[in-house]
Amino acid sequence: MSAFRSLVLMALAAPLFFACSSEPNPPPTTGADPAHIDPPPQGQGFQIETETFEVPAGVEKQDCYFFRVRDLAAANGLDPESPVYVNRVQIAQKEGSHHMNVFRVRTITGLDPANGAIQEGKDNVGECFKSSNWADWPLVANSQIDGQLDWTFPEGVANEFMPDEWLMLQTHYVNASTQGTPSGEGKVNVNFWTIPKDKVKAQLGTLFATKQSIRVCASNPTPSFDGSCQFNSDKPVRIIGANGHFHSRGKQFDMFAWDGVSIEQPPMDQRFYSSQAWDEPPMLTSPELDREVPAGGGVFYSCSYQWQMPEASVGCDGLNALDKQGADDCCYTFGPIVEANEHCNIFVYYYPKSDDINCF
Amino acid sequence: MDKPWLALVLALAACSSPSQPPPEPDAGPIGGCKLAYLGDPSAEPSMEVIALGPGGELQPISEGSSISLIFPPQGGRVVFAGVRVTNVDPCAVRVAGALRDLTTKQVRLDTRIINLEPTDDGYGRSAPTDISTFSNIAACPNQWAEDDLFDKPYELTVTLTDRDGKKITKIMTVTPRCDEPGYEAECLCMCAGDYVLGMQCDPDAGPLDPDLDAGADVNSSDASGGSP
Repeated sequence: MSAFRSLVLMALAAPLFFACSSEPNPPPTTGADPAHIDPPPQGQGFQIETETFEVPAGVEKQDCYFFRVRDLAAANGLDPESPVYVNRVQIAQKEGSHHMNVFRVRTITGLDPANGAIQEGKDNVGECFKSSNWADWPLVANSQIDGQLDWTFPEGVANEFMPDEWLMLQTHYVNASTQGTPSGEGKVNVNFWTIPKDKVKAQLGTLFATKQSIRVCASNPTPSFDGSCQFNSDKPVRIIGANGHFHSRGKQFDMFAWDGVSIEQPPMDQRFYSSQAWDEPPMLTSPELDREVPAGGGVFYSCSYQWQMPEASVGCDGLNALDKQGADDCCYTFGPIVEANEHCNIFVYYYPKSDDINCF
Repeated sequence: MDKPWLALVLALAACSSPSQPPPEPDAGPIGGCKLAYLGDPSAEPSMEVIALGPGGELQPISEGSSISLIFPPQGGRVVFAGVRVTNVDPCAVRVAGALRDLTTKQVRLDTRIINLEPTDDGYGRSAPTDISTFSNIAACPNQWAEDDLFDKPYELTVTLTDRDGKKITKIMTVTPRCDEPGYEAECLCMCAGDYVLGMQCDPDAGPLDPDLDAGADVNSSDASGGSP
């Protein structure tokens, strides 16, 4: 397929992705706002939040919000010149959230806090949609579930943030046929509760791994992809939080504790995470999840898929137009659009921290 | 069929949702792998390891070969380890690649199920235009190997298993190289043995001081894993 034809098809297909995809959403239900949580009292932490923003039918919205730790500390009765130690995270979101991630800002390429505290993206357009912009930004917190998450780390375990660090909160809402936003509005609140430095016994680390060279095609309809990622620690660590992320072709997501040297998939008794729910994947946290990994070990993970006919509004022509390889094989390839792309990402939380780890 | 049975069937049909037939267990109404068998089904598989070279070309890999660390779309550096093979079913083969640190025995791996691209000599291979048909071994950023990931020997293992369970493995020592034109400096930085996540790797220079990176705390106590 010529590049011109691809561009034309893409241009034609993009608006069609969603034109027929969503029934009108029902009116919001009454009751407490699931995105509301009271912020920690002064001196006990801080809250970061998004605006309340519209997610019209047929739209995927992905926005990036930036916060500097020093500013958050100063505004919330904490010492702006000292590190803060977070030992409890609360996340509250309006229904329809596809994901919410918080990262530490590191190498700046296309996504720069200097360009504004809020940088919006819509339907795969905008710097907030380009994963290469945060390739080496360590994970801080994430949630893929509607409603609220309240997780207190084990006693004395805390995530350290330096005063001059920037945090980036990324929110992705979908209001299409495979995933809806009933109220037509998105909103995220995250509370970080702190403890004094002298109460900290061990630091929390995170591990993020992603497979981006993935294809789920009509001619290879049941692919799977396995990968591995070490904690880079010379002593045992404990996994205390985990969740996996793929889209609606995803059928089975597994994570195993791994010794770092074996090539084969670890035995099933080492599996600590399993999900068949692409849209509401379980978020496992301590104390229910508390799995030791030996020194030098890490996580072995596996994503399995079942190819499906795309939504009529997308069609194979739509998928083929998005396929940079021009294979004309009705392939779902890596990317953020829920109805046209696939993912295979893991988010893991552990202690004691050796480093923040990214594998891709 | 007598009338009561016909009525029952019609009633059940009327109550069932969508009239479309249930999906096929694999590909649904279209698709599925239709490739012909490669070579002799009764013969043992024969395989050579191939990899993408610095210009994206296919290179045969054998004991002592250099192998390129390539800049993939997702960032970092990847060894694209593939196969060229015959006497196997080319549909849904499992290709497993692993790169091992010879000192620590630590390994990075990638396993995937692919269709082989047939060639006119009775073989099938990882397709040179499709990186998803290669084992994408994520080598860098180097947060796993003790030493530099370039210009040192590492052990490469590639295993192919077809749908019938035919299996073949090749193990060899290779030397990864930062030799992709235009990307050498960044590769040398993020594949170095002392790389730390967040260290800024400038394409035109060596590694910068991580303390200069905005907000980086990689040299603070949290990077060592100890208490603050």
